[in-house]
Amino acid sequence: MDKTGTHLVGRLPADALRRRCDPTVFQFTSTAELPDPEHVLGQERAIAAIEFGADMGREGYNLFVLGQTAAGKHNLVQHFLSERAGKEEAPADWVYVNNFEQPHKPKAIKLPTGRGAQFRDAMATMIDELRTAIPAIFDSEEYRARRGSINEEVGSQQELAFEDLRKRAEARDIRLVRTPAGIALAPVRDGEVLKPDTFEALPEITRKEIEQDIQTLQQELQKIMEHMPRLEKERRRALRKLNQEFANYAVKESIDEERAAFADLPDVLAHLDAVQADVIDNVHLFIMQSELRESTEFTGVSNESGDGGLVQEGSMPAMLGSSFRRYETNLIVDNSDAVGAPVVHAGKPSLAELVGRVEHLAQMGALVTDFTLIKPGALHRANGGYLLLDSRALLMQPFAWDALKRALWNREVRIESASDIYSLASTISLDPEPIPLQTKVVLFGEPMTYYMLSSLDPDFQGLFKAAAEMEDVVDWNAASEKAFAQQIAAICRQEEISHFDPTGVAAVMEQAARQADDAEKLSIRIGKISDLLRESDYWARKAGADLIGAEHVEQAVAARQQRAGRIREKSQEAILRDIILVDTEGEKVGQINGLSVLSIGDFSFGRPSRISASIGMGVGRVLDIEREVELGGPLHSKGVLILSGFLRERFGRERPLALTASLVFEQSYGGVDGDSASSAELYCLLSALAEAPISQGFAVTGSVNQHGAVQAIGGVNEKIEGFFDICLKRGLTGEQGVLVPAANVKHLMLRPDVVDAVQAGRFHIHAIDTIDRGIEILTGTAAGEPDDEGNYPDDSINGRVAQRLERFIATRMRLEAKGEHAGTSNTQSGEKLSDGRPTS
Amino acid sequence: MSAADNKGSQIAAAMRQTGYRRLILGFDHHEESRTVLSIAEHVAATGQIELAGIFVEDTELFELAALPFSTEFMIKTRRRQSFDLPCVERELRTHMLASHAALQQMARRAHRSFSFRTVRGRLLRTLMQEASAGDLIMLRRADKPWHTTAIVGGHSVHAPVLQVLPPAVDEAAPLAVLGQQIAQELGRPLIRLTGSTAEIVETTAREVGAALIILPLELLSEKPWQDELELFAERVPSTVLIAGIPAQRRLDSDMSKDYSPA
Repeated sequence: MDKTGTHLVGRLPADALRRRCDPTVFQFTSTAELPDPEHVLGQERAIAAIEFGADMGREGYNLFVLGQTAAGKHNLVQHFLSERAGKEEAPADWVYVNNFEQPHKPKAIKLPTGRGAQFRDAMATMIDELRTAIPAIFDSEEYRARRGSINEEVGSQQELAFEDLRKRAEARDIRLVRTPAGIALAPVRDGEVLKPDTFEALPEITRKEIEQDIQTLQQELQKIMEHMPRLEKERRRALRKLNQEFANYAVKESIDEERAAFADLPDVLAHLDAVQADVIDNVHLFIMQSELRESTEFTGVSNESGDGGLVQEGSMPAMLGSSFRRYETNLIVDNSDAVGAPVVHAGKPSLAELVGRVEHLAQMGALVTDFTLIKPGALHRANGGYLLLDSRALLMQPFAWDALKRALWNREVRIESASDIYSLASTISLDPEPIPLQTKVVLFGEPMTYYMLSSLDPDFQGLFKAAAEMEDVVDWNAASEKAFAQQIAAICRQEEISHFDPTGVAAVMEQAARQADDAEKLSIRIGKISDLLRESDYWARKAGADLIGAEHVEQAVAARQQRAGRIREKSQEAILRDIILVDTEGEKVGQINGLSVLSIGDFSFGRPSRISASIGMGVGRVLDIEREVELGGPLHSKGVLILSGFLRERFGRERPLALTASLVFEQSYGGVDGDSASSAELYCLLSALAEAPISQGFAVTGSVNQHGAVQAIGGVNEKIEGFFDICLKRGLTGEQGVLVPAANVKHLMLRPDVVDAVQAGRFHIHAIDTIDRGIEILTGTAAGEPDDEGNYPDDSINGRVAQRLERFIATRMRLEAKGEHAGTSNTQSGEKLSDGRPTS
Repeated sequence: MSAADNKGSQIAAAMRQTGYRRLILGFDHHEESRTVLSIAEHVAATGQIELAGIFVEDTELFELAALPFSTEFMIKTRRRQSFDLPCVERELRTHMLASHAALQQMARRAHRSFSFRTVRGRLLRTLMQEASAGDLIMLRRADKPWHTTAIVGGHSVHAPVLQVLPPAVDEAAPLAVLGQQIAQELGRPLIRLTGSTAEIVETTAREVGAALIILPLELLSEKPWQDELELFAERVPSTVLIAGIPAQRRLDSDMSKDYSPA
């Protein structure tokens, strides 16, 4: 084994395949002995950014916390803000009250913390008192006497007028007669109305006199009747004034009491003034409800006294009860029990949840509402504090994102509905006064969401200037080991799970490195770590263990693999049953085992696939069959183009490449992408050109550049294990193994059974840095070094490839000379021999 | 039981003690005539009193309607319309039906049986003709609650009971006893007039703000009263209770053809 640069090259020893965490480095017997970590592991950058965002009081410095799923974003921020918010001042209370002048625009009033409920209760008590006090005062002797006097006076004037007319009529033997609907004038004789036959028997002159008299009196009666409305109007005016005077007397005392209690709040005082004026104007509401209770006196009889409408037949008590709603107080933000600033997490950030809504009641087929039906949203509750939102959930809710931006730009919360935004409803609904907003919004999301918003939404950068990016991994060193152990301890306490012994901690740490896909790093995606701890706890409890040890952690890992491994098993079964053809022994020309990773949900596994190459004479074209049938993604196509470049550089500098080759992933029908198989494809091609068989006991992964350097790929552990599992199930021969890029050695965290097999010499992992090194292992033949003239030894792989290509050139030139070049099956009609650049 | 209820039952008790068993309620085309039901309900509910409603179609209206120049001035709308026979009959029928319905509802609430008839004539005369021993006649023209205070000279006073007695009647007579007991039960002062004319009674009633006027039937049958009877009935502002001869035994239940059980 050599070292090239910083990489190990060659056959890897077992200890290079998995970094072990030594439990003996831990100076505890149980994580229960460990304190909580001082800081969240590895998130110093994010914490600094969160602190900055929270501190920065300037406009636009809301926070976006970005990180992968299960990175622990929410817990980190919640923990940080809860501590901080607890030391801040609790914000003000907010109420909505009736706007008596414009009822559809309720007014918002801000009150000091805790006084909102006080105000609401005080108003309710005051109105209750008035509902008793006002009827009492209007039932008082004094009021009745004065009202009676007014009625008497008007009544007297009316009576006098009628009396006067009556006397003048009587002087002429005419009487005022009450008819069913009014009054009539009737001639009388001996106190009785003149009968028609008696009247007819009178002399004509007498009859005419009577008619004349009646006509004259009717005119006077008409004048009196016309004058009555004016008297009535004066009476009503006098009664109204009387009612206002008494109402004021009843109301003033109660309201003055509240004025004193809220003397320091001008908005409240203004509202109390408005309430006072409205109560006085609507005193009949208070009296009606009292009169109705005592109205049995008038059962079945209409009594339209006309005196300010004190009594009305047929009023519904339910409607009267609702009339007092105008004086209620809708306490929408109550911080009386709050300790510090609010930290509000809106789980479902719909438009209504965010900015509040106005509810409606169905009454007799219509939808009705008033200010008491205003409901607060998360922005109201978080006003003066912090609002935590999941960005994906927010963006998926119609209108919510726009509403949030509007609120932040305008620094106010305005309640609006989707129908308001779309102007769907033209009916008058409530338009509550907006409430000034001072809140720090924290959005959580994945990096992709942040970048997308940054690039596509011009408002975003102006509103979310503070970004806190979560780390996924932390360097694995002594300090991080200690902190990691403390983190485990903290989670155990938080989740109330058993604590770990040092072996358990070590196992978790190795698993964290495996999750990080890097032997030099530890994953700090707290969500996933917590899952492992919980599942280990499950197995430990099942075993009756007090502490969780390495065996429980391994059991948890194995069980999870088992639960998720159905597709993997089906895939392996297909290979083992030779339905999918993958050789693990023997050797073949132009055929190699490539490796790929399949991800299904949270579970990934490696799988070998046969790659084959076929070659012929042509014009220097390397055909990617996957790409031709649109099963190959762009990265895969790039890889094939790169290996074409390699061929050109190595073998086509001075002479054109007369080659046509095709590469394919055999029995692959689901699409291929990525360039991690490009080295395997190149080996396959070289094997086909050199007619050198490749050992099928090997699988290969690694991308290649145009100079033949093998480059790092992802998923190296899963790929190795995928091939190992097949070989294991078929029986390890001791000649099998995997070629991996040397740059990936640091990522190796293989399963213990793989490591054991390598240790026992039954399986091998080779770290490769160049194509030449790889082809030597695969074919057992030297790759060959060029001499000063660039020629390779004849028996080397490179030499044999070069010779083959020369033969292609010679044949082609001969055929072209004969004019037969178009007959080759590998060329398009009319194609000429090129400088080797592939056509596609 | 409210104070008003209590007073009603007391009146009923007083009526029973003095031997009265049936209450005749007079209705006519005056809307206020139906206000008699408010006190009658209390009396009927608490006492073992039968109810008889009589709607009197005033003959004078028919006579007036037959005259060629009759015009009716509508109080509510201040319009004037020709006052003819169809108009009278239509308007009277409306009032009659309203009175019947009101009495029916009241009787149902009070769980009492009642009768209802329509008679053409003059109000008080007709009611007096219909009365027999054991009957009390009640009619009303007031438009305010019967149990409230009165405003006399600008002051609020307890509206008294005004009782008119025939001359030379002694205080042990049932009518006198009735008046005294009613006033006592109501907690109101009792004002007695003896042998007064209708005008004097009306004037006195207005001046003292009488809540209740108790009149003896026999007095109303005399000539001076007969001339003033209907005018008095039309103009008096109080509840009028006319007491006839008290019954010595329970009355027969065969009162009229319009019997409507509760």
